[in-house]
Amino acid sequence: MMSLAKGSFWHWRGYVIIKIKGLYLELFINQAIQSGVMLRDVERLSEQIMVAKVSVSGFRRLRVLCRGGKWQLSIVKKVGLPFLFFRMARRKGLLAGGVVALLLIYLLSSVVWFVEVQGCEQVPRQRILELAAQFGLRSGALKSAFSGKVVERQLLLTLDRLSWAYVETRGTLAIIHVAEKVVPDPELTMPGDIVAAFDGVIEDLLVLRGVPLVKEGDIVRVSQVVISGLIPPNAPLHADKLAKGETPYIKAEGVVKARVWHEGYAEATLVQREQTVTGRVQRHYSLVLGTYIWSWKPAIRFKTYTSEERVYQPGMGAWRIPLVLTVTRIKETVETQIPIPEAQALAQAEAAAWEQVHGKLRVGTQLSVPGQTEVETIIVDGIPVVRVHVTQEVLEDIRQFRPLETASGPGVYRPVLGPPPKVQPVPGP
Amino acid sequence: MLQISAWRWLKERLSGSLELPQDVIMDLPKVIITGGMQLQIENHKGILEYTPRCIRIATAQGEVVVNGTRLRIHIIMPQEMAVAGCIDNVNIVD
Repeated sequence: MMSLAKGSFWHWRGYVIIKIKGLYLELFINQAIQSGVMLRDVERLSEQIMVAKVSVSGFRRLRVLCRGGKWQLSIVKKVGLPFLFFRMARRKGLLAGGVVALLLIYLLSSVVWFVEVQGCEQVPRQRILELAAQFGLRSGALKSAFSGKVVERQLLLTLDRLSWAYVETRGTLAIIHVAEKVVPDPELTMPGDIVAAFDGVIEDLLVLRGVPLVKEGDIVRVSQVVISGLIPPNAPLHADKLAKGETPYIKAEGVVKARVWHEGYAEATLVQREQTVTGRVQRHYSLVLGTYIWSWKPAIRFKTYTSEERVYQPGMGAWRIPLVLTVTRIKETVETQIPIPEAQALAQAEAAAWEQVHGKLRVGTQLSVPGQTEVETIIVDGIPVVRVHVTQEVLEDIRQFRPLETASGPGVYRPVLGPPPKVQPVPGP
Repeated sequence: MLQISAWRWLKERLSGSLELPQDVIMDLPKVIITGGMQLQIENHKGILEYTPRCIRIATAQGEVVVNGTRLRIHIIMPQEMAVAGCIDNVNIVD
């Protein structure tokens, strides 16, 4: 029974707060409960005044009880939904406005106001939106005016780069989720030939894709085609490519090892010239004020000299006054020649020459035989100079991929057909 | 010596031997006190006195006197009632 006294239940049914005035209020309470009226929050304010909460039906019964005149009953407050509805019924404009507002909210939420695309990287976002708009999915469209399934199907049919599409509707936002196909790197399938990066003699040729134009023992020149990517005319793939409108070319692949001779050259002097400062100094001055320049530069009286310039511009912090003083110190120098031991000069030149050779070698190159060194001493401008020429024979992978250039590219590359051209023998060591 | 009617004696014996609730069989009041803030009474017979400091409630066994401050009747129905406020003490008077 106590659970029936829950406040929320009374609020829904409605109740009144009443004031009872009179004597013997305990008798009033007893008679009220005997009449079947439930009273809540009964508070005695004074000897003759009491307030209580009672349901609407209970109040009607209490009014009958108070007809004898012993007690005076008055309503302090009316609480609950029924009274709210009565008040609202008197304000028809408010009711109508509420209904219209609800209708508007319902109508406006039935429209897609925003369209987003997620997941596109290569495919232009605008293209997807335009396609979706063609099938009804656009900003301002009713949700019932388009079908997500239809939009998804049309996107996949029209855009080859897409592998999956899904239209999601969240309230007034429509999101087009797409996933693009992963296409292989075009460089992996770019048609072209394998050419020689260096002059050499073919030692080992392994063809993975393409047609070899040389054989082991052949001499090749730089940029000579070694493995061609042209599909032979008698191959079925040749006709297939032509039927598709593509060039009958593939990406040639293979390993081309050849004996190559790399050369290096360097020089070193046996006398080192140095400029030594004698201590004698001459100064030149230049003063610049805006566009006016004053300078005092007497003739330099030294045969050989070095100069050093200093600029002075007073100021504070980043601010400078437009007055610049330039002082140039000219120091007399004398050339001295320091002899360098021949062994040291030779070592320097040899190291430089070998560094040139090693800079040309590729990773994985094998040195087939020890290198050869030629040393020569000459006089240049009265100074002895050591010249070192080194040659290194290596077994190296000389392949270099050269892509096929189309007619629209820089120049036209004509594929090499037929037997390799006759080449002059490469001078060996 | 307290005079107990035969009928009451019989009801006591019956409820004890048959293990029936005494408040139902013998119409005894049942008082439940929650802390010092709320008191519930079942099987009451009406209010004898009600002031913010004292509430006297009639029962079949006598009366229950509740003393405290700012007492109010939280809810009252024909058989049950609840008193709320600062309850100092509760006396059952035969």
